[in-house]
Amino acid sequence: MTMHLSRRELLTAGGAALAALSVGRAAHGQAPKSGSTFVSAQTTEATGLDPQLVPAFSRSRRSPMMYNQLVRFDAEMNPVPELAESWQVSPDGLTWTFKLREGVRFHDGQELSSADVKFTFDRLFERSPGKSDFIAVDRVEPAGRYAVKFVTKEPFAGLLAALGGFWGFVISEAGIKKHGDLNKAALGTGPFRLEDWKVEQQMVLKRHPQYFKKGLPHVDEVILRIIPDEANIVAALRTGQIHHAFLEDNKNFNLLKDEKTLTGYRSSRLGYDFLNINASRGPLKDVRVRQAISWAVDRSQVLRVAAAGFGRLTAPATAPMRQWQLTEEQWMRYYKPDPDRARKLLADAGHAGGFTVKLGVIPTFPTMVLGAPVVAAQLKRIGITAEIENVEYAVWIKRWLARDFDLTMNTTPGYADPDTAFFRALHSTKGQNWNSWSVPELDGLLEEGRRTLDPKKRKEIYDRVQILILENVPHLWLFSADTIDFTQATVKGFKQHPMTLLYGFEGVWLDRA
Amino acid sequence: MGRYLVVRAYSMALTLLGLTVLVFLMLRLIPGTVVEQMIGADAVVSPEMVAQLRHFFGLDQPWWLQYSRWLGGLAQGDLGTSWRTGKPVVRLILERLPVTIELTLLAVGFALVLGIAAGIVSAVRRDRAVDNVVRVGALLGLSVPVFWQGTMLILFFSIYLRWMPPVVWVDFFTDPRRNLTIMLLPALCLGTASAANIARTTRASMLDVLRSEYIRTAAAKGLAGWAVVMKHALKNALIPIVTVAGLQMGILLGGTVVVEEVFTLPGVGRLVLWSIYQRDYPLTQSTILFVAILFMAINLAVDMLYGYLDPRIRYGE
Amino acid sequence: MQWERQLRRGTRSTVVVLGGLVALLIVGAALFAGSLAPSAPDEQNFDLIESAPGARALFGTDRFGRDVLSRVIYGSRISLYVATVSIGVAMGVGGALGLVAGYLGGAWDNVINRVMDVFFSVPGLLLAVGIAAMRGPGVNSAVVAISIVYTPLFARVMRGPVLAEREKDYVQAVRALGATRLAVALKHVLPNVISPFVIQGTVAFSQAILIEASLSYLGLSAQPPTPSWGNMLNEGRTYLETAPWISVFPGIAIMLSVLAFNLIGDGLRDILDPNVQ
Repeated sequence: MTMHLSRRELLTAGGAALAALSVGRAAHGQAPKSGSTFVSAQTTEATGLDPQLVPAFSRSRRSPMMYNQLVRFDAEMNPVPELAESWQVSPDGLTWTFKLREGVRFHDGQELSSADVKFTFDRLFERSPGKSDFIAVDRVEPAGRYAVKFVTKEPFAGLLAALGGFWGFVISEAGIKKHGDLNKAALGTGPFRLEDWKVEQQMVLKRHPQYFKKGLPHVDEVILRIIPDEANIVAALRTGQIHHAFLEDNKNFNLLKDEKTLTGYRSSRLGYDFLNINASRGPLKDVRVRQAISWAVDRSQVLRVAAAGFGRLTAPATAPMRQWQLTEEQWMRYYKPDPDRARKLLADAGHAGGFTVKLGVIPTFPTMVLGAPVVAAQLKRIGITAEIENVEYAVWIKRWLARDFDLTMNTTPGYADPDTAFFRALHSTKGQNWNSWSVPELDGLLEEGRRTLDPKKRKEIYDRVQILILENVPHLWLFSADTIDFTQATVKGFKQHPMTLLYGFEGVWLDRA
Repeated sequence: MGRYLVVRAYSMALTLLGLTVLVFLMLRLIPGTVVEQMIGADAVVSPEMVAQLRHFFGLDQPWWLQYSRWLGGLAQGDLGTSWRTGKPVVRLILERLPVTIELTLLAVGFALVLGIAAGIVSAVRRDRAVDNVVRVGALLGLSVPVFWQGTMLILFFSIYLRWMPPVVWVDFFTDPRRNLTIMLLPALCLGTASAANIARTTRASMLDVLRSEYIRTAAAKGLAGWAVVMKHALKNALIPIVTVAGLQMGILLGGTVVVEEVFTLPGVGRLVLWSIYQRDYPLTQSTILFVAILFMAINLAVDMLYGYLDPRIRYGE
Repeated sequence: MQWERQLRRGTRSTVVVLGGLVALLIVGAALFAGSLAPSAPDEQNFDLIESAPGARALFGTDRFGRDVLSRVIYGSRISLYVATVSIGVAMGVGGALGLVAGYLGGAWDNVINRVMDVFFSVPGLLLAVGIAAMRGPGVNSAVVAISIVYTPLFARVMRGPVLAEREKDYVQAVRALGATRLAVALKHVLPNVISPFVIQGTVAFSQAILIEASLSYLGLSAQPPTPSWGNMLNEGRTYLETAPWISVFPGIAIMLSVLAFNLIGDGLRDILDPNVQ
């Protein structure tokens, strides 16, 4: 097996042997071959395909196959032009003008125009749960056929992240007219058009011949198969029945890493697993109790069990959010397990004898199921009894929206921008306030960060935000699992993405020797 | 006979009506609805949006209105539209049903062949080594959990024999050979307990018949041992065997839900489970109803066959 | 001939005794899990993760370094609890319904039969899975599901013989002497129809263990980290290649206990119902 490591990984790993390996692979020196069918497998089916109605990550992952965003994040998490060729901000910071690429065609042959963009965001603001990403946007207006204006209520630094995020996919008005919604059909500008979908079995996508990126995609057809059991996916990779799969259980990396017919890919992910604390429940109101929890939990043990050690501990801004990272010394000092200190904090808060809380887990999320008992065992050491409570997804969502839990395991695909990452979750009045808490200094900083467009000033603000988070403990950032993909060795041109969206398939080709 | 069928059909219709009420009400008691499924965790949701979605799915209406709408649709042959996939329920069922039926038939076939053969040998060679092997084997077969057997078979084949059936589903008509390779282990697992049951029944009823006067007479007439067994004894022992096999077929139809899950086959059982988790009410309701009709039809067929084999039983007279 | 029959009866009772012993062992394990198990079922040991069966852990350990043997021992509690309660409820409720239907007859019989038919119209295991999934995962859901599946069965097993018994002369005679219907049903009819009912009970008990394990395996009964044989098998499923012992031992435990109760059922049938071979 050969490993592809992202540049980021190389910088931190720094191992000479690894670097040599990767460099050796980097220059393919071969012209891509086009044609043939590419088969990828995953365990979870999309519950619907409408990029504006379905929040599930299984939908977001598939959207780049059929749709494009105005802006997209590259592998280094820098915003780069996609459907928008360029953009500029007005001096008052309230109007963003995006110039659209000309000659972009939808799957039905129609050309993309500013009317489609306006339609997309009007529908999004009206009907979609994703409008929360665009909270500061007032309206979207066409400015001629190939330009569109986003007018915001206040300067809004998170706009590019929202456009390049999970809810930024541009749809066509004709598609909605024809299909009602886009849950089982698709009409976009993306590299592939939806040919056929058998739920829980497979999705067949055909090459979009008029795709605006010349020469792409290379393959004629992509089949996304559902194989619900990852053990079967492992077997299918080994026996060459599929070309590609994304591992959900990182321990399976060990089973495949020595297979000669496969190529493995591993890189840091934007998303992370966290322990959410409801700061309005009993003892959890006291910041000292939350700090005690933070000192009690040994995050590297959680990582070891839940992701087989393939991942990293993380500050509130994860590794791919490079420009927002604190230095490792700044956050690691909060992560060194210290049960004695934890017990003392508990005693100071008047809970020397410990107490009992519930710890929520969704049974269909493997990292939660595996992480929770480890967290519970570690809390037990300082006298906190965390009773693990398995809550079915639909019920969990209901209770989550009502903030009805003490502690709960949680996981997120992550956020490209610190505004989206922190404001919504943590602002006590204007956000969703996941923790039912209030830290006025943090609220002020979050508002300032949203309004500040100057990158340097923003960085200072969010450094402070992250320190405040670490000190006030709304969540425990437990770990960020690596993204692991495997392909057959004959597959070339595949790239991972920190957001784990399926951007990588447009450049894929098969080297049939 | 005709009158009997009418009575049966009437009572089946009544039962199905009862089932619709039961399933409908049980589904409404589950906490959480399709709306929460759709909203997800990471969203600012206004109460209006929730209300709008509830209205869209008709969840804001009183239950009896929702129920009568569904029933009205059923009366016109409309099983409804799945909320999560937007497809007609009947299409989803027809996509999945062949898998479940094929699995059931293969398992029944396997159970009949193995069960009857083992039962006969065991009865004829009573108290010999073969008999003991069959009897212990049957007891084990009755006790082994289907899913564990499946797991162990997968373990054995894939790791020790380095053989793995295709993981990607193919239906029988596209590629019969590949399809049967996939179905082999699941059918084996599903049929094991039934084979054990059938073997025990066959053995017991064969022993009864073999002891009876006329078999002894036949033997005395000089007919060779196996000829007696196959020609006379088996024929008379068949009635209880058919009954058990018929019952087993119904049980196996239910058992597929676990086997489909273990071997991840795209059958009806997994469809039911998935739809419950997704809170896709129309899909759950109509699929369960469909399975019930199938199940009752099997039971009816078994009863008819029973009457045919045993002329002493006459229905409706 | 005589000695042969004796021998057969002898081996048969040996088998039954063996079944009884195994059953006793399992019940003992459930009752005294605290003192029998080498460690607590949820005790994690990060120095001993996924280690193979050996001196330090007889049945090996799982991904959390938990002792598989201890978890198998504690797992017996869930199996026995669910089987006992659900079959108890099913026998009680089903028996009462069958008695009422068979003895009172008429409209009672009709209504009860109709309702029971509804539950009979869906294959048993699918019914159990459906009910448990709708109630939401948990041990109590398994109890409810299995009770509902078996209640109609016990009603039917009770109703038939009661119906037959009711018509017998002695019942008519007692009634004529002025005994109430309830008294007659409980004092005279019930004792005469109880043995097929009890035999059915043991068979159902072993099936209930199997169904609970299936529900656990599907994630519908006991929830982790509480150990049950079924959910251990489910957890072990992804470790088949690297740590098969996580799956092997709970499976053996299920099989042994089902086998034990099946043997007892067979034995009871021989004793209580001599007509059956």
